[in-house]
Amino acid sequence: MTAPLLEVRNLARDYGGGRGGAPRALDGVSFVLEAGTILGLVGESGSGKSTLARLVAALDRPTAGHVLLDGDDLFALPGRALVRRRRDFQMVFQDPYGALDPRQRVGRIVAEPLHLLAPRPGRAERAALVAAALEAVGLRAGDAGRFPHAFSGGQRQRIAIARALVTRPRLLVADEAVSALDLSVQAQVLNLILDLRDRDGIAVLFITHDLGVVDAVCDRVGVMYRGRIVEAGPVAAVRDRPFHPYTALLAAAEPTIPPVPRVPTSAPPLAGDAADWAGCVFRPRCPLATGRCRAEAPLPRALPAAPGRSVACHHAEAMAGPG
Amino acid sequence: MAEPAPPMPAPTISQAPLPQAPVLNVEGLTVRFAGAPAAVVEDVGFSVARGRTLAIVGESGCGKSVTSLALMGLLPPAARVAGRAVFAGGVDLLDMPPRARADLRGDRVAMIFQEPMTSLNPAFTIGDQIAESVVRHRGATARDARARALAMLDLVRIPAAAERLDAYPHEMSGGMRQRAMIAMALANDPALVIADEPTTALDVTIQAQILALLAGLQRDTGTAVILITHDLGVVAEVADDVVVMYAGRAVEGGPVSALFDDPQHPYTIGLMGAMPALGRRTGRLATIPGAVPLPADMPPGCRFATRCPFADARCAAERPPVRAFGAGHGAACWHAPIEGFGVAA
Repeated sequence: MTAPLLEVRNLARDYGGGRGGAPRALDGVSFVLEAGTILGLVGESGSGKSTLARLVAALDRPTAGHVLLDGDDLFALPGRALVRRRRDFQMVFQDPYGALDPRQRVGRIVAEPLHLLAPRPGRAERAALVAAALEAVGLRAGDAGRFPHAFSGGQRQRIAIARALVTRPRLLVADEAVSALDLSVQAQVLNLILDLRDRDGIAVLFITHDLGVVDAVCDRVGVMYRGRIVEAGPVAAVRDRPFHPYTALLAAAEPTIPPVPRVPTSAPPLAGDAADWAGCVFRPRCPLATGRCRAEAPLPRALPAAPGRSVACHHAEAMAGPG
Repeated sequence: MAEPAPPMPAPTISQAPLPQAPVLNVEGLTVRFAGAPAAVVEDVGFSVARGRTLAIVGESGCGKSVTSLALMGLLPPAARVAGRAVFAGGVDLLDMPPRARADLRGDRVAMIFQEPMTSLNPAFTIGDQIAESVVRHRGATARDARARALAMLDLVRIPAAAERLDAYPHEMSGGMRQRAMIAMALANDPALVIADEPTTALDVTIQAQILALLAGLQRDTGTAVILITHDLGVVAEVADDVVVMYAGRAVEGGPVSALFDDPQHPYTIGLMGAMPALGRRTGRLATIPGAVPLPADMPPGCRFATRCPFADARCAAERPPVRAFGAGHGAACWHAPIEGFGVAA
């Protein structure tokens, strides 16, 4: 049994300065991402999805827990070894305007991660790797000599993806990588991500707030709420029958064509209501909440009838229904 | 067969049979910035009736926000605006003395912006900001204006409204700030509200609450709403009529159901194919190749011709007229109707 490409175990992150009892930005998050698959992490503002992305990309250190790449704990590696491992995992950020230095040519921007390779590639090899990365995202090798301002938003996001691909990583961490793009351009970038998975076997941790985008490109999905993964499983199964009331609420709120009748959504708790942090994090908004939900925080668990899925809810059986 | 293009009448392409006289009727709206090679909004027309919601949808740079700013008289002086926008059967919003326009704005015509954090003044309480417009337009006393502000916060269902009256914008969540913005816009019972991406900055569950709130208030007050958005899902949820804009022109318009069931313009069809939607998994998404041309490179004919799979020489050279495809449904395309090219179900 070989280790999965990425395994996250019990990851937690506190941000300092919180008053006593302040909730963790990330708490007890665990999941596995296999090579050549796309895992979507979906959640609203404050769900901890960007904190998780930064930890998986080793741009920040966790308060507790582990990030394992091929079974190696990234945060147990000595500094130099971690730098060398970075060629295997690269990150794509949300804003294609802010993520590219406007004063550098595209070729230099895309070549930047190549200093992670040992031995360092020579000038000719560098140019060849940059050209290959640009072509992999549908740009031309000749674009290396141009500046970012000459490109549209979608093309800039392709440049950012080319930069992430230039070291031939096995894992891409994409944090809201298509959120700033117009629909027609977003579709181009989503198709590119599908190509990277199918053609090159690249795994993607795809972080987004958009359930429709998850449905379009992801194999599995994790739904995050207040720093926890409250539900996870294959995309189609979770979409067709959510086991967690929050997943159902999120799906019902998604505007659709044709419109579906609105389920009234409960208002979120007001910030600073500390008493609400006891028990299940979703309890203040949950239509199914009972005394047990206040007393005892539900842990992720599998339902016997649904292999491959997990849900952190005391009432998941009621959501799953008979049969 | 190539007939010369008929002289272009102002294409008013959202003309579903209106239940009554329109609150706003826009014809031939054109906005050009001094020195720019092409108009950023060209010959756009639509109308919206009492109690109805008209959505203007399109991608970045299509001119939808410039359209709303032109109607509100908020464009910079370098903008040259032509056309007519007849409000309530009387005044032309595009041709008013600044003073009269200022009297109308925030009173009979109000606006809700995308970012409630930057559109609210951080140095004043929510209550003061709502009361200000009541004092300005209604000549209310401070006490009456404060009572009105409280009633408005109740109306948009802000909990503990009496306490929130004295809260500053930074003390409220994004959803609550947007509710306060709506309360401010509606404080003087406007006949027309222009909402520019009112839910784009909000989480999807909060968006659903705000859209439901707007729809409920509209039912009660009969306000006409122009909703500017890039989100086709939001259009389908809340709008009665829709205008699709591309590169400054209205390319298709009509009742929402007609447009979504039977889109006619290749750009509308492309947009709908590119939309990732729940439960419509088909592997790859349809894409629209290329990008919007730069103003200097706009083709003289159809502006979508550079990206359109059906484009031919006539498309590049001659601007297509708006043609009707059923009640109030029109599209500006030489090739419409396009048979056998429905959106993948």
